[in-house]
Amino acid sequence: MRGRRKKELIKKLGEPELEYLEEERIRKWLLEKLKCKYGSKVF
Amino acid sequence: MEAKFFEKVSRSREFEYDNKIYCFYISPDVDILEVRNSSNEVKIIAYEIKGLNYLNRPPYYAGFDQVLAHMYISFKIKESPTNKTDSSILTYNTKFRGSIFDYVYLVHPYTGLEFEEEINKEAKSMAELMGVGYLIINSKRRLKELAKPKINPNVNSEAKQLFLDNIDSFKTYER
Repeated sequence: MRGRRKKELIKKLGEPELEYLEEERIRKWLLEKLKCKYGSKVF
Repeated sequence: MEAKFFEKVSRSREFEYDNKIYCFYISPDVDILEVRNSSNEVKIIAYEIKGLNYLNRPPYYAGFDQVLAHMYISFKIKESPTNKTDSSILTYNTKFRGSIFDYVYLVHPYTGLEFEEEINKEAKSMAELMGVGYLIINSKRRLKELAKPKINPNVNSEAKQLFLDNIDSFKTYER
């Protein structure tokens, strides 16, 4: 996903929103979600 | 029900086993490791996460090599040298073939606005073929499970028990 497609995606979702999908941020977020939601249906 | 979580797990501290000092080597590392104790049954779950890289989406097959490794063999134990200058003793012990993970998940980013759009069908099909769980997360931090994991047929119960008996050696990774 480079060039035009990447620009379209940034335009559609916004760069800050896309940064939420970086690996480290997903990991931190998922970890907290698993911890918080534990004991109930997680997904 | 109780659970422990560990992040970016690789090498453990040393522990004693069979009158020798060992440590675990987990390679590839595990992004999130969950140990769940439910009704006296302990399940160990690995999560492999692939995110955007410089805002570029990973290919549909990203991370499948790691999840396959997690299902095949989870760790090696390495005997620590009694004499620190003697590195020749640092040989892998291959006694524990097999995995400690009952379930393995792969997590991918999803760049569509709604989950109904543009679902990554290839990755979902591959996950189903391999028996791994497949989760996608979008930029609104909504999570969806596209494939449910199957129990890993390659679990080595002895290796799993050794891991659980020495879980404190991974204390630095606990979150």
